[in-house]
Amino acid sequence: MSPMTALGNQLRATLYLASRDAYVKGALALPALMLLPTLVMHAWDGGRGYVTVTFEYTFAGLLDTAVVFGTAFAVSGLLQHGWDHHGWRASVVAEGGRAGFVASHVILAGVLACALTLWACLLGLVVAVVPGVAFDGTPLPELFALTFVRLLVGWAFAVVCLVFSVGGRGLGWTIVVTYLITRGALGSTLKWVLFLVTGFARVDVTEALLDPLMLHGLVESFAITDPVRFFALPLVYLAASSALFYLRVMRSDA
Amino acid sequence: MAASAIKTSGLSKSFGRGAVRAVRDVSLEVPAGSVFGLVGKNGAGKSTLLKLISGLMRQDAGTVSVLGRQLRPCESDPRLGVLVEAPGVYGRLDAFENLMNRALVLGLPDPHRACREALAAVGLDERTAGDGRRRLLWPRGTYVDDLSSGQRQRLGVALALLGSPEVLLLDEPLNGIDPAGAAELRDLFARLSRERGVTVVVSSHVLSHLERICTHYGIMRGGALTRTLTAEELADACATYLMLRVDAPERAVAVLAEELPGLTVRVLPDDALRVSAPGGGEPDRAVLSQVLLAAGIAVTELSVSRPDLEAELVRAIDGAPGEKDR
Repeated sequence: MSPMTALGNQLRATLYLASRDAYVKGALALPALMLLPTLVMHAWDGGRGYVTVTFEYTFAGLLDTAVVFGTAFAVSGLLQHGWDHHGWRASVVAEGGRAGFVASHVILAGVLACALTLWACLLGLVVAVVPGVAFDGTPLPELFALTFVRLLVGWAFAVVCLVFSVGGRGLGWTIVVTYLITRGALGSTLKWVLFLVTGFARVDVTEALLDPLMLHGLVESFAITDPVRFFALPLVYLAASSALFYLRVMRSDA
Repeated sequence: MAASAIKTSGLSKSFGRGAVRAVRDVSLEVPAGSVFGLVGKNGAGKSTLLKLISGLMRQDAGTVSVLGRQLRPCESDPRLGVLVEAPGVYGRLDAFENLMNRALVLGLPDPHRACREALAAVGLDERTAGDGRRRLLWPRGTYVDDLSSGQRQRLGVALALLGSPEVLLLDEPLNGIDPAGAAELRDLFARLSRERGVTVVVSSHVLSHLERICTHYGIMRGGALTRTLTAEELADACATYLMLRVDAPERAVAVLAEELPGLTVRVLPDDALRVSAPGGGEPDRAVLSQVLLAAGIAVTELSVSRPDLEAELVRAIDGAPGEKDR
């Protein structure tokens, strides 16, 4: 069996698992649940102006929930289910083994990021046709660009979360890790540590050095100020976290 | 097919920074097509050894070859079917879905059919129920988490059988399974070895099951493989023998070796003599007594023992320290 066939088999199995996993279904439900109160409030307001729903703001929220948080939540949860009763042994004792397991999960994260992006766009369309929703007038190419950046960031964060989910520690761990990482807590902690360390030397490296490297910074604003950084940084994170995920899986007992 | 289905050399594994040496320098050869029984007390290292062979765990030292191919640490061979400690399952999927996942990983051409056959092989297929309707032994949609331990164990065996593996590594595969089901599965393992040449390595504490199917045995104690023997050697060890107590054991051994060279005489730690005849028959008590008396050796006690295989295995597992062959 060729390595590509083996990887194809592992990927088919992982997609099969994902199609049945509660975490993935949860990730699909989350943006809809997030949107519901916004629309209810908007309907209750009835155009009186107490509540203003802006399309761009709501759409960005949908992307953050569905793609950035949702993808990480879904793949971390799936990994956690695999670890619970050693279900991942099915992938280990096979052609491709652990490497196939890692590759299929990284690819699955990308597939889910795409699927959840589409789902968020569909929900965004629902928002767009609701009467009374305000538009800031963001040009369509810019909307596409920020959507694509969030897709890449969601994929990269999902693989970072996979690194921390190896070993499987339950639903609580999955939620906390996913939330903290996708909210940029990991980067903030690193910044604080470096700030404290370098503070003694009276050198501030956080602004100049670290801020441009923070993945979470890419989804904090609407504007794509530095296109190369916005598209390349998530890919660098993706490659680095995939390598770390591989190392962790190779060192884990199944 | 390689002469050895599994070959390990100097395999070692420790836990807790070397505090617990679970597997110590194990060099083992499992003949292809054999049913190899791995026996030992709890904590002897059987499960860890099977995990190392199957690539589920990384060894500290040593090598593993499966069907002539040397594996890298943590690498597994797809020709293995594995059930170690507990079935590796997704608890929030049903049995069929777990099998489907494995079938997809293996790239089986007709996964649905393969899953149904695997379920049938372990007795979890469609059965005619009391009301005359055919149905699965457990309904689709029941999470594996909600199954009994016996059902889960059967599923574990089904997962190991999927894809017609050439080598089966089974750790306590009959745990929690009802007696009739255990006998069925035991016979299935023997049949797979006999008819399809599958090599089966099975560890179990139920020695009565092992003695019915095993062609070879490996005995583990304290992480080390202390002894390997064939079923024939074990049967020889189970031959009827005489237990003698004499006033001069060392001289008695020499006299018997000279006068009755066909007999095997062993001195046990308590200075009793264990005398057995070739072919497992009972040594002639009268002749034995006459020879010893003629040499001036007094026989103070004489009894006949007929050990069974299970008792002999237990003796081998326990080790009888200090016992030596003469």
